[in-house]
Order: sequence, then C-alpha cells, then structure tokens
Amino acid sequence: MGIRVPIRLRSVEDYIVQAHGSFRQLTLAERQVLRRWADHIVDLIQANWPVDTGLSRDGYFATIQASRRPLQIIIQDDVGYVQWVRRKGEKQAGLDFLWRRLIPQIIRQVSPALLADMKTAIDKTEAELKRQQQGPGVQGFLRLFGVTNG
Amino acid sequence: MADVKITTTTPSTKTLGRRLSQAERAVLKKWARRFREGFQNPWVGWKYEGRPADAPRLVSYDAWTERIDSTMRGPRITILNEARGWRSGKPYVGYVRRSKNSPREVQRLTDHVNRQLLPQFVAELTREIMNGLTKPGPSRPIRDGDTGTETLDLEI
Repeated sequence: MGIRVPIRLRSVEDYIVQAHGSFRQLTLAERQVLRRWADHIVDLIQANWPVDTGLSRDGYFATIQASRRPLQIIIQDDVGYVQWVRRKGEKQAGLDFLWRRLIPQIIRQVSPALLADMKTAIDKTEAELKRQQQGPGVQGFLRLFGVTNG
Repeated sequence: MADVKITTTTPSTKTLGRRLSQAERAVLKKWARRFREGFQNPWVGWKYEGRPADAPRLVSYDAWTERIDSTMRGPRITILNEARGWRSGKPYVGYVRRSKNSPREVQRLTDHVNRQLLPQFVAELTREIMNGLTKPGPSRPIRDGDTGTETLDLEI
C-alpha cells in the first residue's frame, strides 16, 4: 500500500569518505541537519499536492537512515490510493503519475542546499574530531599556541 | 509489541465535521513536529553497553516520525517509532528504560508531552478554529483503497 521513495545520499557518503578517510555514521548534529531537510522535503511535497486529497497529502512522512550505508532520506505515504492522485483536469499518461514527477523535481530543487548544509556539518565534526585527537595534553596545548615540537 | 504509536485527538474539535482549513492544518502540523521533538530530542545519551564500536548508533532516535490527519475524521496527531534492533531485527523501543528501576522511557516522555505540550496544542487549535468559524470549510468524503506499495529509487 502507498508509496516509498528512498533517496540515497551518495554525495554525502562520498564526502564523509573524503573528509574522514573512511565511511562513518552521522553524528547527532549531522542527523539533526539531515532531519530538518527531510521535514522540509515533506513540506514541499505537501505544499504542491492537490488540496482535494487531504488524506493522501497528510499521509506523507519522512525518516532518515544515518547509522549505516546507504545514507538515506526515505519519503513515504501509506494512504492506499496516493499513487493514483493527479491534479484536477490533468490526464493520466501511462505511468506518469504525479508523485513520480513531483518528488524527483523537489529533490533536484533542494539537493544543492542540502548537500552544502551536510558538508558544513561534516566539516564541523571532522574539525572537532581532529581537535579531540590532538588531545588536551601538552602537545595539544602547545599547538593551540602555534608551538610545534622539534 | 514494542513499537510505539501514540495518537492524540482533541475532544473539543473531534466533532468538527469538516476538514481543517489551511490555517488550522498549519497549527496541527506545527504541533505534530513539536510532539515528535518532545520524544526525539531527549532520546539520546544511551550507554550502548557491549555494542561494537562500528555497530549502528541512534537507530531509534532516527525512527521517530509524526503523522497528522486533518480530514473529516477529526484532527489527529500520531507519533510513531518502529525501530528494529540492530542485531535482533525486533521492535524494542517501547521497552527501553534509562535504568532498571526507572519507568519506560516512552511512558515518561508521553507523560511529559501530555502535561506540557498537549494543553498548548489544544488551546491553539481551538483558538484557530474559533477564528475561522465564520468561513465555510469544504466537506469531502474519505476514499479508502489499498493498491500495494510502489517504490521509486532516487540518488543525489
């Protein structure tokens, strides 16, 4: 019943590998950024969904998968007839359903800003990880003041 | 069954007999998110005892979702968590406790949401409905039909 649209965030995965050296799960702060974007995508879908079908519009929701690969935003709607919804006066042409057009269009629209926000969040995490690796010891303390060993 | 499903209806607006207006629906949606955050934001700080370092973390944190229903059935917010154990694949969220003697975390947070957020939500929605009483709202029948799930894979 309903529809399910997993959006794989391969660019984010690749950026993590590039910044971190290998894949890692998203941190809490990174998840919060991703979740905000997932919510925003649902808002945009609902804002562009025909108002006449209140139940199917309300039915859209998002989850994220941030603990393992593939990193994903998953958009779902469990209302039984959601895949058949079309705008008033719009003729159905084969498999060209509204949700199949609308969701990819919204993803294309938001993806540059989403990726930019995620990269910023990942950079912040990596900077923090580096700072922690340097540790609060003497070396870390000296480095903070521009003193290098040897 | 340890999945979590908490549904909130508002007695004062249940018999409205019409779909919510756009402004009323915006209130419902805003509070649905706040309710979700009421469960999700404190859902951190777990011990993960015995779990390998590279095993998934925050799985049940990610799994909190909210649904709304603004149709003629009556304004409704549903908060769900259907996380599955990283190893067992079984539902568990409803059983989680901070310590042996503490109450189930979901129960504790439900009490908090009911005490702190629910009255504010009911008041704001009622106010919005009162504001719109003079405007006629559309009345539509609810269709129901199950035609199987379709999937569309996307990548960015």
